[in-house]
Amino acid sequence: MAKKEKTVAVETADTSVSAEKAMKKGTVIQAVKAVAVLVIICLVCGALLALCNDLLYVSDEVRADRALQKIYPNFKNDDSFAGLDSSKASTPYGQVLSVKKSTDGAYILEAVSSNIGFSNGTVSIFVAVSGGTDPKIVGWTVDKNVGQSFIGNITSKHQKTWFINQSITVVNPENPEGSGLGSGATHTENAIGYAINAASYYCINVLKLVSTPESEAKDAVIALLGAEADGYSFVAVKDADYLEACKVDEHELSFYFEGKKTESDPLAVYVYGEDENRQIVVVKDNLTHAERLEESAVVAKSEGINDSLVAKAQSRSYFEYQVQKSHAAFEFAGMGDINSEFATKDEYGTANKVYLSTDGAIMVEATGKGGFASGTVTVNVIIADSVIKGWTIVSNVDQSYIGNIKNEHMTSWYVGQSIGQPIELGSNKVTGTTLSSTAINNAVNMACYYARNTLQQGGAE
Amino acid sequence: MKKERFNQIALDGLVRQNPTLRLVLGTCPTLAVTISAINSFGMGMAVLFVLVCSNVIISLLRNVIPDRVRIPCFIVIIATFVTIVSMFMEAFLPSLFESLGVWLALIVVNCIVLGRAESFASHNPVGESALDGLFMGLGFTLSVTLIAIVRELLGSASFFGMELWDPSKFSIKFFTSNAGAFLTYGLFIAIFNVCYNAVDRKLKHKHAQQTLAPVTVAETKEAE
Repeated sequence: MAKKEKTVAVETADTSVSAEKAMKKGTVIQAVKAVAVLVIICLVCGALLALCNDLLYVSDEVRADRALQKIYPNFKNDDSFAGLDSSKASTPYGQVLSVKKSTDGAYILEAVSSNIGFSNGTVSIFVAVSGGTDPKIVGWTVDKNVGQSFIGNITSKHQKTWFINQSITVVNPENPEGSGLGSGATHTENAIGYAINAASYYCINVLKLVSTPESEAKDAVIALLGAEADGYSFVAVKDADYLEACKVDEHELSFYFEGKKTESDPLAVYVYGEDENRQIVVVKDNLTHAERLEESAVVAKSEGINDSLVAKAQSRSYFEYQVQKSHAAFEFAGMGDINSEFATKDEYGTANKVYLSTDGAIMVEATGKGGFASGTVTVNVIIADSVIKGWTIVSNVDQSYIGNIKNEHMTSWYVGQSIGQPIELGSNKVTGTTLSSTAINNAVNMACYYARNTLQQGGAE
Repeated sequence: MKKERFNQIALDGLVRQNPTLRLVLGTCPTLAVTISAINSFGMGMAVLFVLVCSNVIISLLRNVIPDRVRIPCFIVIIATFVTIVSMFMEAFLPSLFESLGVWLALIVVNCIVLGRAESFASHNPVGESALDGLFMGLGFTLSVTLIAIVRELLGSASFFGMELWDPSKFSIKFFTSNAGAFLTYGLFIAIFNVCYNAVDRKLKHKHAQQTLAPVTVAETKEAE
């Protein structure tokens, strides 16, 4: 009996082992089948797409031709035209990718904006510019875009109205963003505005379609600098107050250009007078106040230029002028050195610059972290006698609601507070902008921390 | 196919299970493209094409595709048709292709398409699946086009791109904004559902009356 039971038990065990084996085998087969089906579907779909691609592929040439037909149907290519001057294709607003000339004198430019669009994306456009004495934008169309989810808001109606028939000399020169065009895709509009301006800039400064006092002054600067001007883009700063501040006796500053080039020293260009009376001084623009006053700071100057004009250009940096303008009570005397030991504090952020005043006050530029979307806010804090005398926002990163911080907040928050102790956020915040307020508070605390530790203001920690 | 089944599928797609206004699916493209009626109609047609084609193929392969890899298979099939429709638009309707931009490619992850593949096409025969795709697509197209007509009319003073009056004299720019899209969409959902519920209640009431009446007569006779 016991033997029989043992036999049954052995048989049952054998059966369960074989069932388990069969189940495992079945599972493996099912898995292989699943993978095989997925692979087959992928292969068939891939083959179908390859076939469709052969039939429906649109080449860059076809796309360009379509754009040409859309914006300038009468285009007939002028084969004698040299095309794009790639060394001058980079503009302050973006890059010009190609230029074609029509036999009737019109130009078609393909331009891409700088990273000003939605999510730091770009928009490429084709622009048609008429020839003649007063060149105008006669058509434009969007070619490609990077990351512009709402590009669909820019309809053909917008392409037929925005910028059309505007002279290339006045295409939003002061406001290239073109904000307020009203499509509901403001960042994409900005990118389009930049691309249009890049094309206009190229037409004026490289193709020389029009001659304006500004372009003539710029040509004179380039002629003076010679080979040194290669790769620089010169942008006129139209700050009437600064132009007035740089006036020397009867010599008026006609233009002030900022010259920029990647990985090279920025230049400050002062153009006094016009035509045959034009006098130019070019100064290196990334120096401290003391360095700028040295003779080596002058990169180039017109022959026989009045010495007082050179001295003015050296002593009146636009950057320092802006600092002084934004803080009327702060008599700027020069830049202080940053002590790297106290320039960073994990909980606050970093101290970037120190400005010195004639009366012993200091102004610390500090960046505070902890803002909206992990962004930052940079502020200038004026400190005298261990007390905050004033502060202002310099810049921000990703703080969409920074506009809610108004002037009244800058004149009430922190002013008169001692820098001896860390300042709590407390009531220094705007509801709905709490994270930006936090970043501001961190920046102000960073400035105070730096001041009390390095400049004997308020006692060291 | 029986007429009743056809009517049921058609009514489901257009009204009872309207993807945009009843199921609130495909919300992102609805909000994004309804700024212009032409864009919305184009988007609707693209979704309709993808729905019909993917439903047909998925229904054909429903007994072949193993259950555990069904979602990847569906996605591959849907992505193929989205790419085809995108290539077609770029070749023959370039301005619409430019206008729809990223939303065209995003049909791949549109809940309506994947939802119908999963809930209908993978369980029903080819003919019914094709009809389901057609009517679901039509339901989506009608909804987004109607929303777009209202937004375009009020926000840009135009109808399918044709300017009806000078927008500087009267236009409410709010309707071209994202907030305007939400508001219009919300109002459409509210109005549609109020009407749907009213009609539905009326029909149910009528049906109840029709079914109750003979019972009462029979009961009366029995009592006698």
